[in-house]
Amino acid sequence: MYLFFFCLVSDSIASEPNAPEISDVSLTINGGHLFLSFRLINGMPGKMEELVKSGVPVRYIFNVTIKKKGLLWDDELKSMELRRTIRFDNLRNRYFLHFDYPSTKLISIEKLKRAKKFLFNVQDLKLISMKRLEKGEKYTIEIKARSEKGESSLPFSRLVKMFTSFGFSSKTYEFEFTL
Amino acid sequence: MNSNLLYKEKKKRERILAAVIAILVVIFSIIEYKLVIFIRPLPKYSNVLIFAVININLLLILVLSFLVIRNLIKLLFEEKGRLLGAKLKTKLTIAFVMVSLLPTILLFFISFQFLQTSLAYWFDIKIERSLEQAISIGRNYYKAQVDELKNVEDVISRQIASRCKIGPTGGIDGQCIGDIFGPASMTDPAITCIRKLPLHYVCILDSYGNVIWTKTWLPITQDIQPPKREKLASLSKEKGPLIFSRDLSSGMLLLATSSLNHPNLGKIGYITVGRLLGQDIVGRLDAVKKGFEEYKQLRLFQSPLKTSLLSTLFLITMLIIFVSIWFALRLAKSITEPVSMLADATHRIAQGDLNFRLETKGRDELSGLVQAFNTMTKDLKEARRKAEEASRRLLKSYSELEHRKAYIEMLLENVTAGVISLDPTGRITTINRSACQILKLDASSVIGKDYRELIQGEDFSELERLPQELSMSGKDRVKKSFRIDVGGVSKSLIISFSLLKDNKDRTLGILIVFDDLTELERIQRLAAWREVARRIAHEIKNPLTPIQLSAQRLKRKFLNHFQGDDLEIFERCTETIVKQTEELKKLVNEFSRFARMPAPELKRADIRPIIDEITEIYKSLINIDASVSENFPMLLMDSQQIKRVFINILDNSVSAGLAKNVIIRAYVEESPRRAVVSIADDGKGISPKDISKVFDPYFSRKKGGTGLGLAIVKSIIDAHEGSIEIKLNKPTGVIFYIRFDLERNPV
Repeated sequence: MYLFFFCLVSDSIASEPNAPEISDVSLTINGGHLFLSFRLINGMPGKMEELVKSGVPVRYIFNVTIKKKGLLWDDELKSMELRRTIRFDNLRNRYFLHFDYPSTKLISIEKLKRAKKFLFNVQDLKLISMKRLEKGEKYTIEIKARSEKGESSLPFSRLVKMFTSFGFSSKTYEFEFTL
Repeated sequence: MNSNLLYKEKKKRERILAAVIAILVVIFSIIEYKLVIFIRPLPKYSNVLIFAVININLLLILVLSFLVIRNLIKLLFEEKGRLLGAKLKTKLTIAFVMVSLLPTILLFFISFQFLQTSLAYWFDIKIERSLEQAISIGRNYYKAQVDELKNVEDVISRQIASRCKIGPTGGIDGQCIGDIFGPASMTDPAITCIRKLPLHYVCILDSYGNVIWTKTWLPITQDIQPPKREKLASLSKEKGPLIFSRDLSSGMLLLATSSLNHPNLGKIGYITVGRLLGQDIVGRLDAVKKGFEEYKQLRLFQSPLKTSLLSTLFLITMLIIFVSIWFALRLAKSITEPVSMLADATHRIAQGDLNFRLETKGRDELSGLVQAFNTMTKDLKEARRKAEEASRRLLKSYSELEHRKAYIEMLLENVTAGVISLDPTGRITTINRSACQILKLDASSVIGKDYRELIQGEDFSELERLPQELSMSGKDRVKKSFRIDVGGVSKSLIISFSLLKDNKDRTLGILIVFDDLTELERIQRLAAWREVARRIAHEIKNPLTPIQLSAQRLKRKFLNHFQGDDLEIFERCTETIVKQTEELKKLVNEFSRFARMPAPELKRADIRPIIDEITEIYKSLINIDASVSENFPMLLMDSQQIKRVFINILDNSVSAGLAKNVIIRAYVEESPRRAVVSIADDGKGISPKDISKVFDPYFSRKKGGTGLGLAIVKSIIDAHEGSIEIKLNKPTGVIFYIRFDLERNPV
């Protein structure tokens, strides 16, 4: 019985060959602050693109944490969460992107490719003041991306949700640096 | 087992079950999570619901299936163990399961087919095409509205640029703009055309984003905010106008914002124009959009939707099946349990446990049956109590009767008189011990026999007539003396015949009461003879000596006076007188001894020297074979009198019986314990009819015998509280048995 159910579940969440991942990570120092840039690749795996085009809003959440390496444990210096939502308006035939960081803004884009570029590229994210960082110390930056399907107007949406998950959670991208 | 223990056990089982379920939830969750993570990384929290729901469903089915399987196995074992009610329970379970299973399975397959068909209809290509066309129309309409708005904006922009005065700093004359949209004073065809445009909102802003002129033509006055400066800053000629909308209560205001350019001066400001799309149009467009989007989502979720629906259907079916089985088992149990309880209770009541009561639950027929059973048990208990009480009373009465009967029997057994009861036909119904002893009968062999078969004697015919005489006389009792022959011995009895009557004076039979007077008569005779003997001895003894002396003197004095025959006669006569006087003396002495029998001086003595002495005295006359057993005890006796007993018996054997051989044996008899001395001779014996008279005084068949020897023997033995008996010896002679009771008179 258990295997039967698990087969049902596992069928609907079958693995994808191109899993989402964080890439092109770079750090820059400007004006006494550390800036982070990165990109999410394969941000719409499988039928997620179809899901977006069907009008379901999809939320992308980027979690960024900077930690100072310690002997026994790391000290978390700063942690931030970026939320970006994409929604396609089938009548207007445009993608509406909503950003909540660093400021709230809404933009509409006609082409998906361009919308993806806006959605998945995080450019010059003001991470932390350089004053908080010490020379010679080791620091770790962890970046993780995940997505969530917004509410659907379907009558069986809750039932369907039990057997499908269009969201994903990328592997945590982690790297160390020393000033 | 009491209910408290059962309750505790049940609680314990529930706790174990809860713990197992909790452990299973954790295990399943871990396994699922690990497997899902392994397949594809997923956000943690979004799957919690999935895991929870699946686990709950799984566990519900597992618990239910466990309970069902457990009950089915239990039922199987009950069936194998031939437990009471198991067969009925099985039949009921199968019947209920079949009744629920068949329609459920049928419904499942029909629903499955129906679902497949419905899903196929949902995603029909015609529907998809229709929806795409509908959304296409909607898009076109929207685009047409936007395009028209852009044109309007363009026309207005050109008119403003050409007609209105622009300040050196790029400021636009607001009066001029007002004139364009103002009263119909201007007859310019371009202005007239603008006034006819389907516009609902116009806003002119300077290059800094400040509102110069604004006007609305909306059915309800609403505050429309112009675009923010950031938005205005992002506008460019290449990008085209900024299209956005505002939702109003009367519909949707479609807005287009673009730069206001002057042919010579360049950008002098911004213009925003708006057009209201009515609520009905907006609603229809939204409906088309929603329908299209939901259809696309449904297509996307087709597979999981199908899976989820089928899974739900399957789960519900399984749930129905398990619930129906469970319900069937419960229902069967609820029916068979009271039956089983009743059977068990019947068994217990059959074993006598009338205190047993069944618990009743509910108000159905079975509960009524249980209540009726309890009532029956109560009645039975009451009836048993009454029966036991009656039995106790009867037992008490019976015991009293038995006691009384035993007492009466004891009385009857201990009375010296013989008592015999006869039924109306003359058959013996009861006979007491004394009667058996007197008549020498065995009680068990005479009960039920006719009394006339048992009694013989000279007065038998008169005895036979006595009951008739009794019934005819009208008296209740008749008493008479009889002599009857018992085992060759004549006995003198005084017999009383009484009629046995019940409370209603009905004759039930005859009661015969008799006393053995033989011994009494013998004692009376003995006493009489002793008196006679004493008087004879007294009267005769005195003259005998003078007679003898006189005869001797006559002989001595006158013997010389006679000669010849006279002398002979004289001598013979005097001799005869002397001799006969001597004989008479002896006779008188015997009489005297008999009459003056002294009381024995009882001392503890051994019989062996007495027997030895007797043997020595008589060894010249007869052959005596004497022996005494080793365990023969010392006896309390008067040795001289016992010696007289032996002498008298042996004298009798030698002189009367002409015996040649005598055997003396002294031994101990057991039960009753008695010391016995037997003296057997081989003489001529005695006739059977005289055997009862040998101990009577003056009874003698011996010529010249006084008949007192054995009478004296009897007197001595009686004085020693012993008994003497004479029997015929075989082939000839007699045997005397002398018995001393060792239990009554221990030595």
